[in-house]
Amino acid sequence: MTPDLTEQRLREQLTAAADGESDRYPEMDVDTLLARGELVLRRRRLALLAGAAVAGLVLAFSGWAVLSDRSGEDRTLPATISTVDESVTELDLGAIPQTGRVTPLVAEVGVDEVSGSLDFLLRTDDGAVLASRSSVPGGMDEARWATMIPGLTVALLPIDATGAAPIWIGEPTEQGSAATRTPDGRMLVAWWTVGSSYETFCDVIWTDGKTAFSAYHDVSLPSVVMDDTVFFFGSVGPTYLGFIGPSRDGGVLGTAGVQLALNVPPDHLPAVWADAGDSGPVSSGARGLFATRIPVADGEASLETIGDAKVRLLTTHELGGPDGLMLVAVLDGPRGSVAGVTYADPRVGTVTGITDVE
Amino acid sequence: MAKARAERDTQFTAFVETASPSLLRTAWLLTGDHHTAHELVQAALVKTYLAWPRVRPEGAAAYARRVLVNERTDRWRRRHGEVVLAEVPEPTAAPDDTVDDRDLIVRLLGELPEQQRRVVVLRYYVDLSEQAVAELLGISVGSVKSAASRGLTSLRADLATTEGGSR
Repeated sequence: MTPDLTEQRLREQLTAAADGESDRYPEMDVDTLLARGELVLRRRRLALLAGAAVAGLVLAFSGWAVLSDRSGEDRTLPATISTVDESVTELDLGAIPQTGRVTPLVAEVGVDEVSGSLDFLLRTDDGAVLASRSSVPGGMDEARWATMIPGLTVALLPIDATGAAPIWIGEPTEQGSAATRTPDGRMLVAWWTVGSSYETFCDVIWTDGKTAFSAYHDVSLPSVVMDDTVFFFGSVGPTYLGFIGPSRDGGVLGTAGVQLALNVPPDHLPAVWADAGDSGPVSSGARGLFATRIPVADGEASLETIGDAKVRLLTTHELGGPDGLMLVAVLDGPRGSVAGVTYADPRVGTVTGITDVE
Repeated sequence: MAKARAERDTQFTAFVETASPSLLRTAWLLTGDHHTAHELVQAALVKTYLAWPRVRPEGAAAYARRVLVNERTDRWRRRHGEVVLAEVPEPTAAPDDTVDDRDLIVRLLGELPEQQRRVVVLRYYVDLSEQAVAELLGISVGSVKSAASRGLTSLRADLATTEGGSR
């Protein structure tokens, strides 16, 4: 390369560099592009997925979620978002193709604009409904954590003991913050950035400096400190996010992973992409679309504690159903709240089993 | 409704097929990182898809490029404090001058201040006019001229230093 870098020479160099990059990464065929087109739309949902996965932990302690759309309306409802932690067993994992059209499980979470309910749907990629649930909004009479979903992104924020939720409803690219006090007197400060893309920052920080929740898609996610238990989050590439939770004594509490549904046909794209503009309110069809899996052997269950909460991981077999599909986290929280249980059997196709335990 | 959606998806798919290579190259020059470039392109395509009903077909590429650049800006702002370095893939074949040149210009590009880098890429790779770059970045034409000039000067100096040092 000559140091005599004229404008024309620079143009040539940049073009050569870009072309060279293309040479290294050959153009994709149409099928790949189509798949990528789906991935494009799906990857933003990773924010939702990540938030949902985290919410599965957090909400387990509280059992409530607050959903907010861009129109400014908030909805409070039982924490059934945690039920996105559906899974297949290791046996089934081996059958999951990495390419192609088959996706074993697809979960959709939607907000009914009229009733304010959260609709949860689990199905196979060929459209068979495995399980569904519609949650009725409830009140907030205790201090709780909540999950906020402005549009399709997820942030986490605390709700104070009076029920006056310091909710911030963010438009894309905006930032927000909130502060509240927990029943034990500690102050929580939350801040977040709901990105203009799928990226979402969120930190919830105790006044003693501990980060209670922190998530940022697109990098290795930091740890979560919750009731003296630390959870580590990590992302591997654009399609996977997992977490491990070491127990207080240093042992590993458990691992879980969430896998985006890479091969869902376009017809299954969530309605939000079709119905909601990027500046308008999210319509009643707002949905996230994702699939998860937790590699737990069939029939295996574990019992651990997170703080004061007991964690039960149940398989469908334990729930009296057929082997090998769903694993559900049930958390008996310190205030008696317990996350819902979702149970699905694809061989039957319409089995729905939801349990709320008080 | 379903028919309209299908038609739009067909149009969008064709657009993705056509526009992706160019967007990807631009994104790569803006970031120096293949993975990040793909993410930028995908983010741009997501927004383009959402805006598709109001994006004229002839303007879709420009729209996507604008979103892409803005995405890059957003991310850079969020990560200010981090040093964005080019992560150019290692050559898989025996190095030759051509590959070295490609890598070098991208590495040097990555050392420019972010604004200069954007201007240089848009001005000299995408080949936009100064006015178009100014509109896209939301800055004045004078700022574009200044950034382009400084960027080019820096590249010349860095190039001379690099090549001088390698001899």
